[in-house]
Amino acid sequence: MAGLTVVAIAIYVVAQQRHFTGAFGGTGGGLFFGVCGFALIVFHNLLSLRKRFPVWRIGKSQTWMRAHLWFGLLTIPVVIFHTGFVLGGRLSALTFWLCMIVIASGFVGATLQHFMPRLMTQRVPMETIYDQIDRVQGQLLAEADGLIKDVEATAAKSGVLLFKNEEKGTAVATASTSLEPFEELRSVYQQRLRPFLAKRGDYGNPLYQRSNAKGLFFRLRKLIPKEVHIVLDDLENICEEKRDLDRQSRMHRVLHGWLLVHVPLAYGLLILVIVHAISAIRYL
Amino acid sequence: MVRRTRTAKRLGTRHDLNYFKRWSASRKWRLWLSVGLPLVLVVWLLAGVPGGDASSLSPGPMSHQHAFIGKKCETCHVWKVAGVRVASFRKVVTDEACLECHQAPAHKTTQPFTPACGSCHAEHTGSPDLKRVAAGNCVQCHQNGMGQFQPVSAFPAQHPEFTILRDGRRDPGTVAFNHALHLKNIQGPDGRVQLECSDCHRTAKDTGAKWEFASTQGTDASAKPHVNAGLMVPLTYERNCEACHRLQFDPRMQDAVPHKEPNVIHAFLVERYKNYLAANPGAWRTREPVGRLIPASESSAAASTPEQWLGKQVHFAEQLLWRKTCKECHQIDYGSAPSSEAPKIAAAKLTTVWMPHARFQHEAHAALNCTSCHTKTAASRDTADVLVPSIKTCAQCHSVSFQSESHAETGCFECHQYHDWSKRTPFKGTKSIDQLTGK
Repeated sequence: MAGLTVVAIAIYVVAQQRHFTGAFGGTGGGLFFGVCGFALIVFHNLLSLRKRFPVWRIGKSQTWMRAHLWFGLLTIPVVIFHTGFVLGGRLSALTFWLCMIVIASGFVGATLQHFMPRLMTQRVPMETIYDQIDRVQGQLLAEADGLIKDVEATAAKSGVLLFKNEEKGTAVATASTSLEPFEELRSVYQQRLRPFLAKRGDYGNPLYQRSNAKGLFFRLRKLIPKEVHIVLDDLENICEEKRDLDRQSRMHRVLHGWLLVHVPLAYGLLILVIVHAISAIRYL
Repeated sequence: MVRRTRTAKRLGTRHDLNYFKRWSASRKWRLWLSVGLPLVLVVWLLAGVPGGDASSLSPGPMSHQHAFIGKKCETCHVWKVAGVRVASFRKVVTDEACLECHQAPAHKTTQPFTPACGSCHAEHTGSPDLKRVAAGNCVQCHQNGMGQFQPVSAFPAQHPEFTILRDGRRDPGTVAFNHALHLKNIQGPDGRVQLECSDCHRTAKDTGAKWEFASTQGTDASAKPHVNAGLMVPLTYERNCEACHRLQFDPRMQDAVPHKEPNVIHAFLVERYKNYLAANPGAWRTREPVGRLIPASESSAAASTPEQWLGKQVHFAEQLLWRKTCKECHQIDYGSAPSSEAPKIAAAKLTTVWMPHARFQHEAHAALNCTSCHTKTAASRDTADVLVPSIKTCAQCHSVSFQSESHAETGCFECHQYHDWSKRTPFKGTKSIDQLTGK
């Protein structure tokens, strides 16, 4: 790629010496770079086609992506040399800046794609499918609701807590001294835990911070009989999992948000380049 | 009480296995933006095209001169061949489109090729002046020298010295003039004066202003447009010399002879002396003062008839003029003819344009004092001295320097013209204002 860039520079220098007046893009050298730039932009847009039809035997996706990145780098000098360092009119200036934004957003995306997956693996151990986060979050909420209902029902019925191990099919009965701590648990759940579990991406909630959640559950453990601590452990795990989902949402947006800029602008660029080429053929 | 379990089986049921068949929100956004954004851009760019305004497709701003037709692309973008409009998708600009509004005389019949108008006068660059043609356009032919011209590839480094100085030529003028003497404190018509350059040398535009040492005033029509409008107008005796150098021929006469050909002067003298004799009938009987006898061997005896007196007076006056007064400045050929006949006065041969292939605007250099460029003038005593500044003088300002971007123009167009305007012909415009402006 470095070699191609050097060749492009050499061609530009030679062509520029033979150019005296007017827009460089319309000269022989300028048109050469224009055609090359157009071909590169079309090639870059073909990546989406390659992704749409993965079964086509037209090279590995990885190879396409590498070519997309490296030829994307080459597009910068080719387009700049085509302009001859003069932006010109509204269409050509808009096309140029759009091209630069697309390339810049592409490199931001490539950088993110390089670092973020590793970071996500480290920071989101309970990662799930992004499009299923709402569904998983609903399941977590239902699980938490179930846990609390179970505790309440048991306590209200007999004043005795019954821990049932589903896996082994055994049950252990424990005595309770008072219902007051369970009221406290219910209150905390309804007012603090449940809203956090119900709202996706509740980054402003204190429970989004692990230290705050730990403090809360530590206080609850002081209040609640030891036999029920196992429920608190489950609730704490659910909160932890919810926090992971929120973190995953946030990181996913960072990881893929650039595509909302890159892809539409790339299509826009393709259209503008076609209009630019047609108008050049018509008026040049 | 049920303990939460996290088994693989349970986790496996968490996901909807058909989730990929539905479009996620981000994917939908991407689709809408991918369709909407290009659509908005195209509509925005091409909105004016159906109405005939394709300026949004323009590759750059129009030059200042053509800005007023910037939205009327078809004024220039009309493909014509031999005057016939070609129906085509392409709308290229041909020379014919330019020549509908402009006259552009050819350069040289021997030029290697004739470039298209637009190749030198490049449009859509926002140029403030389309006449500012890049030097490369000229250099592509002139870098190897063309005909009598030396190779030129850049100014000033690769530009030869001006021909008049390079070849060591001398001023061909025959009218003697000593610049050094005239720039000293000298005797004027009313006492001593210190002359300035502008007392004699002015451009056509300044000839209307008062001439301090002239017998006549008024503008000068000799300056030709497009050729030497910026040069100094040719000198004339009446305007530049007469105030000090009057052509007096007789102390008895108040007026001087006209600065004309000898036969005109002769007729003038005869008429003046006849008039004098008519006013002084006895004058022919008086002896001639010795001081007026030129040469001294001439007889001072009184004339025997009025006709003889008249002939002698005219002869004395002419001898004074031919042998002394006129000779001060002019080269006079007395030949072998009798002294009674008028001698031949050499043509003045005053050079009005020193560099016929270049233009110069004195007005543009008005901030400078004359001697800063014409450095040899104050010391010049010889008429044949050529006092045109060297190219090195020009290069003091008109020079590209890597150290400084601020320099005076160095383009060829600054001094030279491609089009031979001497071949200019009357031009008849064909367009109306409405046609040009599209109103």
